[in-house]
Amino acid sequence: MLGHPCELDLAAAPTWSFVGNHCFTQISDTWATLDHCYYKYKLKDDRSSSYDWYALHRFGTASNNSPWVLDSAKIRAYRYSGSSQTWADWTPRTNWSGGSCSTVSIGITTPVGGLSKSFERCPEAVTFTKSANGTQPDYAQTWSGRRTRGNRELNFEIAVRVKQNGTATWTLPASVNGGPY
Amino acid sequence: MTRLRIPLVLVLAVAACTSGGPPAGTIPSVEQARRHLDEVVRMARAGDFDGMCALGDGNCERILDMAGRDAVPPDPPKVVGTRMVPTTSSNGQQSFGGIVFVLCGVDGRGEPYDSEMLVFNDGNGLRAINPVYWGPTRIASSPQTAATFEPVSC
Repeated sequence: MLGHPCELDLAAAPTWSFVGNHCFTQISDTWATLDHCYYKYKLKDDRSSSYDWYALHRFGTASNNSPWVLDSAKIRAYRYSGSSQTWADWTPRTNWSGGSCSTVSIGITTPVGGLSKSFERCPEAVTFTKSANGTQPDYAQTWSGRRTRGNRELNFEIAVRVKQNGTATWTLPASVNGGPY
Repeated sequence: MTRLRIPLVLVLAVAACTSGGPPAGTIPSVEQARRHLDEVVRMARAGDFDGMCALGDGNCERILDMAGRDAVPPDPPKVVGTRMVPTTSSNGQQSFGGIVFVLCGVDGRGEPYDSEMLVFNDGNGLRAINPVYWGPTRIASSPQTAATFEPVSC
């Protein structure tokens, strides 16, 4: 939520402003690899004198290192030292498994939307863990599917609130696991 | 004895399946990395995005969507810096270092850009993290999100 309603000029239109992005070096456990990145945004024209909001789009692509197989991959974001953060939103909000590969949309909506992204969801299992509301934000997404040959996508967005002029810095671990067969 | 045989078989199998080139994580020379950069640029300017992404990382298509296929710079990027990122290993995960090029120029829409591209060895040859050099992507040097993203002087 955007804090107290009186802090908002409802005629204004807060929007996410791109701050910057990085990709990381490729990681591997020999059998499989993971390429992972993030985009960081700050809410512009939030009309609040008490808080600022930041959003993080975190994504990655895991692959088997042919001829070996991919078993699981995980990407995570948790608050680094600095400003205290409060959860605003996170997506996906559900786990899923089964079915077939399909393209779905993810996108935070609180405090505003506008960062919707497509995400190729595949059949094995994609689960998330999230720290409780009221604690420092920590979100992790895990894809699991034994003996997969091919690419699998990981993708999530989170939004947090910090004090006015505060910063939002996250630590972004990732891991991938595969096997010989 | 059986327990010892399995790892040995796996080691031999891994060795048999390597390309015969440098092992994954071997840092390429700046000249080797530059040739890979030049090939990426050639494919981008030719509009061969499949070929370009085949030289790149698993997120190439996603970042290409964001940067725009219509925004390929008409001119090759200016290389304004290079640095080496070491290969590291932790908790059973290797992180493949390589050569980072700091790039800048003007994109196909007339907008200035600056970005970074990492060229590394994945065991089957050279690959690039962020072949989409006309986007804003930098190469992370730490596991934390950066506090600032200072523009590159081009």
